[in-house]
Amino acid sequence: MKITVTERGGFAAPVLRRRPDTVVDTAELGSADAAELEGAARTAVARAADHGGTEHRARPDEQNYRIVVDDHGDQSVIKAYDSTMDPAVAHLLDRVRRHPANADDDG
Amino acid sequence: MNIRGRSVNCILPPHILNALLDSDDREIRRTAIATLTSTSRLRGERTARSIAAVAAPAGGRRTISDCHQSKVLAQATVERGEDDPAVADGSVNAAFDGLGTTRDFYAQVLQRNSIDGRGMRLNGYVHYGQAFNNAFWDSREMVFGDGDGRVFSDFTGALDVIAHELTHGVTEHTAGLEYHNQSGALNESVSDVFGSVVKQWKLGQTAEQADWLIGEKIFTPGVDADALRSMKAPGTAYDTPLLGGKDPQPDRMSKFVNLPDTDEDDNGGVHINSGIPNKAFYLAATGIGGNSWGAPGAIWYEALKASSPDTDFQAFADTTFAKAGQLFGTGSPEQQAVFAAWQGVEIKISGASPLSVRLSASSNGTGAAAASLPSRVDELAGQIKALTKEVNGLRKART
Repeated sequence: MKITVTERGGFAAPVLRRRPDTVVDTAELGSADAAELEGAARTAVARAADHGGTEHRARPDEQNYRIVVDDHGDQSVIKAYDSTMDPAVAHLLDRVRRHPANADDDG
Repeated sequence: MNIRGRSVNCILPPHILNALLDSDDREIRRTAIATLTSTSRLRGERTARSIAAVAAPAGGRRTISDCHQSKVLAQATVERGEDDPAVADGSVNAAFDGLGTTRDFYAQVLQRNSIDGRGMRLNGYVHYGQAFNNAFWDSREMVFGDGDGRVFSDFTGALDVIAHELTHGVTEHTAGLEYHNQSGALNESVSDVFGSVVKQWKLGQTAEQADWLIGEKIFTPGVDADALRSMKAPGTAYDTPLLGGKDPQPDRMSKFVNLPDTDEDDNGGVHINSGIPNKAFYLAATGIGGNSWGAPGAIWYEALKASSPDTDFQAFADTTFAKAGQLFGTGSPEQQAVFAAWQGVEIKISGASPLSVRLSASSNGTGAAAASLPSRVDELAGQIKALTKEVNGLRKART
């Protein structure tokens, strides 16, 4: 499974707008880590599908996230915003951010 | 959840509890306070006392909660209320102080009672998310991230950022500027304006002494950047690969950046094109001279209150010019400075009379001719009146 996170908006939006996407391929992880991340992604996709279709009004300095989950060719896209974020999506984002491959990519 | 007529038998998260404490329904407020008391053993007596203290409406009383690196506000715990002493957590104290300074500025300088003008409670949430590089206002509370520690540091450490965010709340309760394209860039600019003005007020600086930088404290010491934005010189705040290159803000209309109105493109560049009205305020404040929270701040605040959700740069410029005239007189130095400020970013005041434009040119930007106009008119009117009286007297003498 490949997870791609595009993070935009925020107080420093012009800086964030130029940042590369964060990508995690679970094929490169140990089996336990891979299983945990894939589970988090599938839960987030399911929750997003349950709450999909709600129009979001842009709020000042709020960040937004576009998460693409490619589950062996089956692609799902999640749009999320900090003020209305589902806890399952928040957990997935935190899990992706904590991944060692992404720990030093902030620049 | 039915809360009327019985105690709520669960530990409510602070944002819900605060909403209940804000209720116009006395019974709901009473029940919320009862809940606080009943759960005080779990939350700690100090916390319960502090929230109960803010149950009384008005005054912009503060409550700071700790998210413990979660993005779920419902999991936050209350750490400091309005009457509590400082705590060990520096982020909690910094947020508490920043909210208080901004609240006091609005009350003492602009006579505004908190964000909504009616004493709205000020709720801050710190330690939001994992290495979260942001601070934002979500219409009910203010949320602060810790920063990643590499590029961004703790967002609670910057007073201008806190004042910026709270001003988004003021804008929401006044003009309601829509957060996209020009109205969104104005929304951002107004927050930068009062973010900087509050900082200057706190430091006791004149417009000439101020640095006019926004967010200079949000970067870690290793980042080669003056700040996130410069109101004095938009487009010059940083130029480093670490931040993706050069500061993209324009400083005049001919450099306006057209971007799609999408999440990915900053809602039409609201944080980019805000450089244009930012520069206009800087020019107005330094053109008028003295403290930015005096005449310049009053003009911008009155213009904000007179604006509407779809106000664009041109309409806002015209409104500031009109407000300067109403507050300080037509042709006053303040109005001439506002005229020149917008001219400096290539926006021509459509409401300006030919006389005021001519005076602006003839005064060479000093406003001296405009300043002397009212007294000169009075003087001439007095002379005409005296001469008329004398002529009438002579006519009577001849007949």
